[in-house]
Amino acid sequence: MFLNIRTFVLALFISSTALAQQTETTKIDSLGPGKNIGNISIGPYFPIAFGDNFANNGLDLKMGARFSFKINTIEDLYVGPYFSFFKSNVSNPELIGNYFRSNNYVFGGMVNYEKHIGDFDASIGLGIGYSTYRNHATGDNFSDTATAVWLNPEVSYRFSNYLGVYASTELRHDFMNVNVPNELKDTFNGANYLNISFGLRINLGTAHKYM
Amino acid sequence: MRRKHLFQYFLLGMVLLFQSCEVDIMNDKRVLVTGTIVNSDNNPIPNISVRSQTTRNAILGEAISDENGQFEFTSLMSKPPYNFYIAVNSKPFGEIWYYHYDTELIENIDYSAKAFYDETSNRNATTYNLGVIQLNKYAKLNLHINNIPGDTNTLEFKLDYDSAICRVDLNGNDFNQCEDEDFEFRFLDSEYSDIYMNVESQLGSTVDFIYKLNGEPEQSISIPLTNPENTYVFEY
Repeated sequence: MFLNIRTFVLALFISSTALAQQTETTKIDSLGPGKNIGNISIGPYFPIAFGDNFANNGLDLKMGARFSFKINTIEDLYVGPYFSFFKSNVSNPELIGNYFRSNNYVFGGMVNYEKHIGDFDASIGLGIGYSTYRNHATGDNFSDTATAVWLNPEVSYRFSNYLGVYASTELRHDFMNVNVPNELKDTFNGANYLNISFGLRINLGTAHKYM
Repeated sequence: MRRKHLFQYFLLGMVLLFQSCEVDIMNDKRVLVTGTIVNSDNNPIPNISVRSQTTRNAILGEAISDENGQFEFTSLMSKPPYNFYIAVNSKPFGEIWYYHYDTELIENIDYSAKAFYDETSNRNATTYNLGVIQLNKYAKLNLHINNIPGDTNTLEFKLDYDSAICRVDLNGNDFNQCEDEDFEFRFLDSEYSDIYMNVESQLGSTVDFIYKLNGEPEQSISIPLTNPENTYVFEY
């Protein structure tokens, strides 16, 4: 709940920044063809695990949220930070250990190739980040950590110059750091996800006006 | 005065804060616990609970033996200095040192229990294969020590026996070897007349009653536990 409020406040802040930028750039609109600065995507995040691993066989995954901030670098390449989280309940403690809840957080960065076609934007991105599972056991918490990599195709539609909606899928693998015996390596060596997210996209820059 | 209370509340808050931050489970670590539970005739015992836990009572993993007496589960691992325990047929406990005489901790009272422990700071093991765990039936000895009235005898004694919840070192060689148990040493002077004691042990084992009467050389009596409930009267 607290995290949701924080996410909401962050979204408000980013929105207000975008609106402020819209006011400032009105003056320079007449000066040139405009510029793509980048975009911010924020929305709910639906994790779907697959394969023979602890996430698919031992966790009941719940909704989370996703945030990405892409900055245009050269031509159609964008880079920027990425954050996502989701919650889960432990459904098979005999398989993965006796704890009851796990929240996953990923902090990382992405490189995206993005194309603008009319009111639509299509992009494909590669990301890498630090993934941590904050696990809640009886009277105690502990963590499992991993390196996450993901491939992220995304489409978005602009309904105004600066605002739009996006939908994305994310094929993600977590390379787990958990020390286990050979018998448990299939379960704990890694986790696979096909995650879905959609939500609000804030486009920064004036390029869309001149398309 | 109010400032003094404010400082006290602050101190209390800090204590509670650090208390709640105490962590006794290792990050990025799982172990596999396996074994087979049999009775004294080597027949498998189903539906016996097996739990791994920390000193602070947190359950790290648990399973129930199947119809073949086998169990297997993934466990979290306690972080030193907290101990790592695997309790077979026992309810969760805080410290086995304090509770191992208390048969209220035994879940299935038809059988004895075992408490495996690892008190070392080396937690590199990733598998705890407990092998074949033999659980003897539970047995109790009601011991009555009677000082015949009028005599002025003194008696020193101790009792050696296998506890109903026997302790086994996970770093030891034989998982079926209970650590030696001995009841507290007692000295009875002439003011004592009747003493009643309960010893909770395992069917088929013996209780060694070792005593010195009036400071004479040590003598020993072996009391076999042949029934779930046994009575022995020692008169002097």
